[in-house]
Amino acid sequence: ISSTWYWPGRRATMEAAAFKRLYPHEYYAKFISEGARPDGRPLARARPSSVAIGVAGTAHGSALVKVGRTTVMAAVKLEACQPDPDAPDRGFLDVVVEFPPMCSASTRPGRPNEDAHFVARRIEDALFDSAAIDKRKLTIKEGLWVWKICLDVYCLDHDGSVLDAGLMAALAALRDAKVPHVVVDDRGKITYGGRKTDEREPDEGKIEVAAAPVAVTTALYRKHLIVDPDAEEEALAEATVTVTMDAKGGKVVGMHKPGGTAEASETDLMHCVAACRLNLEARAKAVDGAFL
Amino acid sequence: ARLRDSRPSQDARSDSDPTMALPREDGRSAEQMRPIFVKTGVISQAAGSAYVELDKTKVMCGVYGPRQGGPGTDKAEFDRGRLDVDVKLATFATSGARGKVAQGDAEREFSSMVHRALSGAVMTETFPKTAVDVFATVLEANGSELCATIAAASAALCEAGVAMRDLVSACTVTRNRRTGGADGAEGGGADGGADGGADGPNALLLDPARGEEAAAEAGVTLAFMCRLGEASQVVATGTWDGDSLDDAVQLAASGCARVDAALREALRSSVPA
Repeated sequence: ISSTWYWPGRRATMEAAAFKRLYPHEYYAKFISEGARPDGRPLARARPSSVAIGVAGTAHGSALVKVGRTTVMAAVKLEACQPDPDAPDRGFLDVVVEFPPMCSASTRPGRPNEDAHFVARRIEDALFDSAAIDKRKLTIKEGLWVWKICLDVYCLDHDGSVLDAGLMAALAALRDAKVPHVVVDDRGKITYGGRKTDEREPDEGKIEVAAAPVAVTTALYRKHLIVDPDAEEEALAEATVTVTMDAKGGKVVGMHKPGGTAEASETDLMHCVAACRLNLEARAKAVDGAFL
Repeated sequence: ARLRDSRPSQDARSDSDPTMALPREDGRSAEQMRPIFVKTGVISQAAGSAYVELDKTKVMCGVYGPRQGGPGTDKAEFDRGRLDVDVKLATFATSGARGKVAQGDAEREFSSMVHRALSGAVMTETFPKTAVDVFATVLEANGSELCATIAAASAALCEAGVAMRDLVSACTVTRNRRTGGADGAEGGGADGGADGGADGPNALLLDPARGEEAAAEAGVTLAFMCRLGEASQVVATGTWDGDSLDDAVQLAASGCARVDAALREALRSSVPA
């Protein structure tokens, strides 16, 4: 579609695509002032999400989540290891987030993405603060062997709000994971296998995921609140706020505003929490839906 | 190098000669490829992208550019563009323990093999002073990842509108000792070379799965431009004698023809009517 845009004060007209390239803020502001966004959504609407599990045959558990065009894949691998001597009954959860260079125009090989670490720590926080994962439930034999959950989250297509999609993928992958059956003998030696899979009871060999944390990111742009920003909107945003709530219980388990040039007032933060509450059920349902 | 026959080979040879048919782990015959799935337009942010599955081997590739190149572009020739390839292996791609995030040499070697396969086809003179980036991630490695990556890269480059002389397809053929043979059977690399003979203890396997690759005595990977009938890269490992290497390359070329057909089908169906 080509339409001509008038830039106030100039007689020249130009194509929409060129206008967007040269004056991204003016282009975006034209939509926001009408209460809509370039992709047609109202300011408060999040994109639809979909979840699929069991997508990686080589991992113990895996999931693929799409929020709009943002695509994130998570995989869980369980390794038996020795516990920390100070915490002999606790296992480990190691979350690694990767932005491979193919996921967006701004990621390049060899340069570690700054967001990767942030997203990884937020996913970890969400899982522990909501008590979704309890490290004490990961013991195999106290003092000798515990499970280490290696959770790898790969962003395959970065169209904004990777943390939201990443947390959904992490949850789904953890719920999908099948814990390998292990046997520890008297001398403390561990062996894998032993029991055939069809002899397992339905819930045996699963990681206990006791909560369902959901994250919703909101961008602040010229005093407007934009829920679930895509990549272009994130680039223009002055700040973002991510609120994490537990779908089982409705309590807020985390809120993060990592810097940014704009400040968020108390009302803004309350609106962000409300935005999270509005989208909580839909996202939790999307994750549950994958297991039906 | 010009190859004689790039049409898909008939499976009649293996059907009529029972000693040729080698029951493989997944029930395929020696000359049978795994099912190929290709989908383009899978990464919204990229200029071109493709997802390729060779049964359980899964690779996703995104192409960006032509755009400003990374460091070192200013040293490039003024009348040509640069083709940069980077392939990553996901940490969960292999069964067993989690891989390391930065895998270093193996990934670099892999990337440079993909680069060499594509360089023969990409017309870099059409984007001087800029770079085209080909980024791929292997999501699941179950044999023939190199072939799947080259195929995905070709489709993604095509979708991105990068000028190419032809699509590049790739296929691997390995020489494996037949299973179920007598213990201590003779015929290692030196002795048992040729595959055609009914007495030969070895078989040429097209599109090996992971287990077959690991157990192979020798292998050859062919990157082939089917319409032009030219090979852009041939990598042979292990010892071969002339005849068996020729047979292996012919077999690989027939596999490439199938990959090429799958790529064209996917690209054709992605063009809006």
